[in-house]
Amino acid sequence: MATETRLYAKINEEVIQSLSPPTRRYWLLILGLMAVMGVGLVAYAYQLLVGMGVAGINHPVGWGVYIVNFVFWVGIAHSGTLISAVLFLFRVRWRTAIYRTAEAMTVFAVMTAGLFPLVHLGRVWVFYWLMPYPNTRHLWPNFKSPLVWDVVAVSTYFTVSALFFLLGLIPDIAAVRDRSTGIRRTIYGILSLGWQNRYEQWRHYARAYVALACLATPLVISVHSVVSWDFAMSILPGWHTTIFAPYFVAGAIHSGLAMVIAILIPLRRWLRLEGLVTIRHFEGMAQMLVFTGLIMTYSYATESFTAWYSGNEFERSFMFWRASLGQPYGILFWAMVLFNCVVPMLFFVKRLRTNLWVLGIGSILINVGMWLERFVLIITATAHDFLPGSWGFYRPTWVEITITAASFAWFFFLFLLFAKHLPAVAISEMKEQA
Amino acid sequence: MSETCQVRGRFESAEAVHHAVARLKAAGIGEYEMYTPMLHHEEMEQHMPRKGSPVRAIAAVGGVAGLALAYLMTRQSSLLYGLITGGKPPVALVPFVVVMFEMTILFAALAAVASLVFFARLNPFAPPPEYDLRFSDDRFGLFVPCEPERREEIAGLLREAGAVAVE
Repeated sequence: MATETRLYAKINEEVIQSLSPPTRRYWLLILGLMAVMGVGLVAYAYQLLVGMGVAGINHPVGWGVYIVNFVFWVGIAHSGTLISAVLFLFRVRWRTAIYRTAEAMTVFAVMTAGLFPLVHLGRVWVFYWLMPYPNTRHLWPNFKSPLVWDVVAVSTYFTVSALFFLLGLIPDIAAVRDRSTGIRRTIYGILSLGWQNRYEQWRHYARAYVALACLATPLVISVHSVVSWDFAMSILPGWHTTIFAPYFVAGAIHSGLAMVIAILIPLRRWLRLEGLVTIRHFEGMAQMLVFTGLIMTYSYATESFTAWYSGNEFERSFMFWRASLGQPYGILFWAMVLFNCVVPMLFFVKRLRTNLWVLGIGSILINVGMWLERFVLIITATAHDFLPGSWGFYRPTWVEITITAASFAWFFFLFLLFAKHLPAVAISEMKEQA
Repeated sequence: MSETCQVRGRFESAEAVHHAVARLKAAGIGEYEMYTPMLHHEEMEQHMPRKGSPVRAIAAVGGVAGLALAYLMTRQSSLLYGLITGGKPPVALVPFVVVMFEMTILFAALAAVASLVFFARLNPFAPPPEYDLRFSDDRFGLFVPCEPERREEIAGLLREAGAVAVE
């Protein structure tokens, strides 16, 4: 009994100490990220003032890096809900120490993803035309369009993920509140919604948590399926394929897991959470990376095989063109295969997956590979369609590259704010398992 | 009960709280409030007069409302702008399923959270809780409202069950 009590106090202590006032290095990092975001804002302002011509997108490639980034960030968002909701329903115990970080990553990744359709819009000031409301133009959104499905799916995913994230935080913020004083106590008091740890509150809380987990689980599957239909509903070679939905979902989980690992490795050291987030947790995630890596390999193989076996000359020639090293995007295609299929297989070896340096570098490479995958998928199909006369080449301009860099800065900026102001590990659930 | 007081017991474990609750019940006391730093759901629920929660049922109602609203929204807006697109009639159920599915989930989630806030009486602007601050750390609590004349009896019961502090 006394041991349990000591463990509860230790968990409280370890997590709450991570919220101690940040060092100068933290603020320098924040300033650096803000500077990158500032440069991104300048680039975006330039695009708004001059027009979409400053971006590399033009005939025939109308969807460029902005849409690549959108799909990439929505994908990153996926493993958060997978780890928090799906693994919760399957009672996977090792998720407890890491799910808060994964959930935060989900919310921030969707917030980042949501910026890109707006950046891509051009006339961003009329974005509200996507919403159904009676208007003087007598125009209504077309709910048969995958683009409108996407708006509904991503905004639902954001709302439900944010609710799930905030719901899990309530008892833990109350624990922080009870150890705080002054203005911090008032702020945490408001954020904890007046939580008092009464059994009556836990009774309803448990039901609401399970309900949200059950609701979030199909969303993991549906959101990236809907994103994939943005492409698969067209008739372009390289896009028009039924494998896209499961392929996108597996890829999303693959990239999301890699991002959780890449973030958690420095975070646990920085917040001194080594006692709570252990090698066992990283090993569990690395094993999942092997699994999703195998699915990715299978998907790439199936996609290529189907293009060849279909006998459709457009599909065949497109696939050969895309994978040919002599063609402009061939090197990116093979880099994608190397990073997404070969690198995860290293984690079959226990010694490699328990070495945090190897795991960290491998995870970053997988993320590079997944970004390249989105680039190869999205760009090549429009650059090489049915007619040789309409073939073209796309290269991102400095404006697109700057805005992309700023999106990464924005994501890490949000994450750094989270890590120092909210409990990065689920205190109450850790106590349950103590 | 003209005048009431409250006996507050602090415990080191959920098991000790269960012992105390069993003793209270044996003494004919059925009104009490338990505090816990984490969810000891199944063990604690067996001692509580109220079990379950309407949250999931309300979430289901929210889901059905979302489904109905999505159907109405997609149908009516398509009828208001009846252009044939993608070779489909204005009201085409299959493409609308995506929107209906998403809005079912969205409304169910919103209803679940709203009902939690209502039933758990969560209020961000409530005054700071009067409870022991260690109930969010490593201690369990049992608060028993009682008549002043039973105060000592109840305090004794809680001590016998293993309370580390009784006020």
